[in-house]
Amino acid sequence: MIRYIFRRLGQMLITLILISAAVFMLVRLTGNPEDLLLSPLASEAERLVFRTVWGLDQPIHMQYWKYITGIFHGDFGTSIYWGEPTISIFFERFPATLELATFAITLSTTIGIAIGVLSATHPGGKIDHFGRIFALAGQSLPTFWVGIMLVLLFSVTLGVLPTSGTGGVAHLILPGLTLGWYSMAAFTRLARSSMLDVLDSEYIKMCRVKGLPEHLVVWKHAAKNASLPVLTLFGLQFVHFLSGSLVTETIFAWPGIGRLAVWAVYNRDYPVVQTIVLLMTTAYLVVNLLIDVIYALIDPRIRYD
Amino acid sequence: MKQFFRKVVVSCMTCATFLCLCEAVKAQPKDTLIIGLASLGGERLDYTRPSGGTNRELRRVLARELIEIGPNGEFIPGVAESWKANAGSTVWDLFLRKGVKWHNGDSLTAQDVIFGVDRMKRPEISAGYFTSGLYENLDHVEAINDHQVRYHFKRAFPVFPFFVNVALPVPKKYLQTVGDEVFTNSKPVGMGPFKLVRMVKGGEYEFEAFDGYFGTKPAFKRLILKIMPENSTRIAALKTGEIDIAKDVQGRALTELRSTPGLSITSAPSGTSSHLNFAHLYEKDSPWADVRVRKAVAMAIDRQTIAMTIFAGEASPAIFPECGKCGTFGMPKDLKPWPYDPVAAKALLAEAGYPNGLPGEWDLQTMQSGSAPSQPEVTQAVGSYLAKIGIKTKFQLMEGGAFGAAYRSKKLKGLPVKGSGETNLDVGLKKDVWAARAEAWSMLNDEDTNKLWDEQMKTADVEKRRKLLEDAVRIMVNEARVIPLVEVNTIFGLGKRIKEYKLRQGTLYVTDALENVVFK
Repeated sequence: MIRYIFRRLGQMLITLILISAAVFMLVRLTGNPEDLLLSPLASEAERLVFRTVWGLDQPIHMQYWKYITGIFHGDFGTSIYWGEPTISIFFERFPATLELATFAITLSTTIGIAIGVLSATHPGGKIDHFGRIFALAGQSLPTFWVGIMLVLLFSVTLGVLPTSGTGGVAHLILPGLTLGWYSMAAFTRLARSSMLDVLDSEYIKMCRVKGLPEHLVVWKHAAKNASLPVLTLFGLQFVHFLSGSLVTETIFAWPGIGRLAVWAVYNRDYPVVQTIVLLMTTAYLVVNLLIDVIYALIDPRIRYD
Repeated sequence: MKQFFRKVVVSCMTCATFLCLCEAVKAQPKDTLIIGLASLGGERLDYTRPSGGTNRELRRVLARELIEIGPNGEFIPGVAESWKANAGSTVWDLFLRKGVKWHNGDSLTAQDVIFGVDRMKRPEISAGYFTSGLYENLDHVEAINDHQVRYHFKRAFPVFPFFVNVALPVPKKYLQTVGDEVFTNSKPVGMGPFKLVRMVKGGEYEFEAFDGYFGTKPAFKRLILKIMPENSTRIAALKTGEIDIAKDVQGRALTELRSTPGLSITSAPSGTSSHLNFAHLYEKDSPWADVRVRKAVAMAIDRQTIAMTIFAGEASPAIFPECGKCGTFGMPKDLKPWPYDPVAAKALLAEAGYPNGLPGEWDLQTMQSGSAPSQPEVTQAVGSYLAKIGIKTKFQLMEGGAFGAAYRSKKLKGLPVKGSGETNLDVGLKKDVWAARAEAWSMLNDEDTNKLWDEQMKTADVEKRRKLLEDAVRIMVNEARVIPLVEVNTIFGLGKRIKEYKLRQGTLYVTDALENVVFK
């Protein structure tokens, strides 16, 4: 297992270097930041100063070398738009994203899995129908519409929740629900189908024949084996939430990574885009590795060596 | 029965948990004003070098300008109480107010002004900010005494009152102690009406009133600027009372706001407008070289209908790509917008040799812009009007940066529709529109207007300069060298607690005149 982990870490490093090069090149294809960040009236001399200050006058391979060597020294660059180190900007916004992502993933897993399991244990029943409609709605309704409808209902009409912003649990409910419903539906569907497969297996029949109470059969013996695909989805969804959701963050004025990334792209703030992509890629790779390790812990049949 | 009770208990507990988490939207304290705005740009706290136009909101809260612009577009005292030029406009004296304090209690002196001028010369400070208007003309600055600064220019510089704010004063002693990093990113010290007390980057900024502020103090002690990018969320927050003023109210939101009891709007001419250019104006064989064809275009567009439909009445037909209602220096008062007369437009085309309209299809390009979100709709409307007189166009929407770069390098074809940003309240400063002599990428390059540009730049006599600018505008309008479309208002939504907020003509900024906010 240890060898496997080290091998994966080596692969991760190569992936990150390739990703950094790809993002570095691609982001520069979108255009020049001076077209957006300088006044249209700026003179050629001012444009030259701008390029010199931000190192954009250097050949591209020199710019990349400076960038990649800087990373190994903990310097991810300075934002052209905000004028601050990109890593500080990232971590100023990250707590808000982490808070929302944690709330949304908790909401979507607890509710989604519960509905999925109950649907599987009551196939064709009322709860199963509800579960399927709930999942269908969650995956079909566009997030921007759901968000605005929730604001109109809970903030404008009922006046019980704030429309937007940060500040406490009350501020988390609407964005958390908006962000979490889509994946909640995915969890419901996956938990249901996975649970149906497991409940149909021989060892579950054996449990029932032996006279185990139904809640033990479902939650102790079946749920554990049915959780493997759900775990994969959990990991991917959580990192997806962590990388920010532009729509939810925009509607609810949530100061997170999603809005930061889009602003950076709009303003061609290369260093910020590069930092966000690199850190989020790292998060994806680490979470994938963790999930693979947890697989082996949950299911002893899985061996990596 | 037992199962039924269990369900009831579970449902009640769920509802109770939800209600505990919820909180009724709290009434805002009387002494706090909360403003919702789509963006604060780069949120840079260094008010001397705003990053992005919207960042200027912070500038107006934390600091004031040396010479400010009054409610009707006139220059009024700011940090400087008066100013005067020598006969040739080559030397300008700025007399600072006495008793102006920085937020840290230090007094503002001439040394702070000079320090600000020197600081803005540093490339890492000025990069990204338009400073050449001042520095290309400035020779040196000197302090005559603690409250008098003298600017020496290499040549006549009649536009000094506008350009003096390119380099605002900064607290020299404080900045030398804490450094640029702290001043720019976390602890700014200005001399404006409010001090920063708390910020959540990308979220909200909270300020408290500065007791030592030299100007008229606003009627509230705390100010919160909330960044709310989504238009509908800002309107919802205005309805619930979470914010008192919503910036950038447009389109349907404007209609919704007007019809909601207790809410209102305040508006003023913003000076932003859009205009149509002729990319092939100087090509001999091009139909656009013929003034009759250009006039036909000018008369084919129903600007009033565009203003009423796309902008719900919060716009007006434009006369020139500058603010026509702001008392802009150099705008002839007798000029009127082009009339809408498609019959006359067709007749002009026929007279020019195109009785069946122009041959071919012409590009009609514009850009997507956050500051002018309706520009694509305006451009499409223009395309429809042109089709009615037989000019076929092909609408092309470009990303802002790409459009700007193509415009500057003169790669655009056909009829580019460009927005004209914040007004400078001086036609002589619209060099991007008409002065190829000063701005290589200006689409207009005519000997007559170039000559007028040169002359006004060295004319110190105010009335003479005004006349020169008026002549230039008349030529451009009468020759239809550029076709002005509509001039858009700045509109802010006002919440239930706000009775009135009178805006300055030509402003784009919600924090521009907070002393004019009147609570009910």
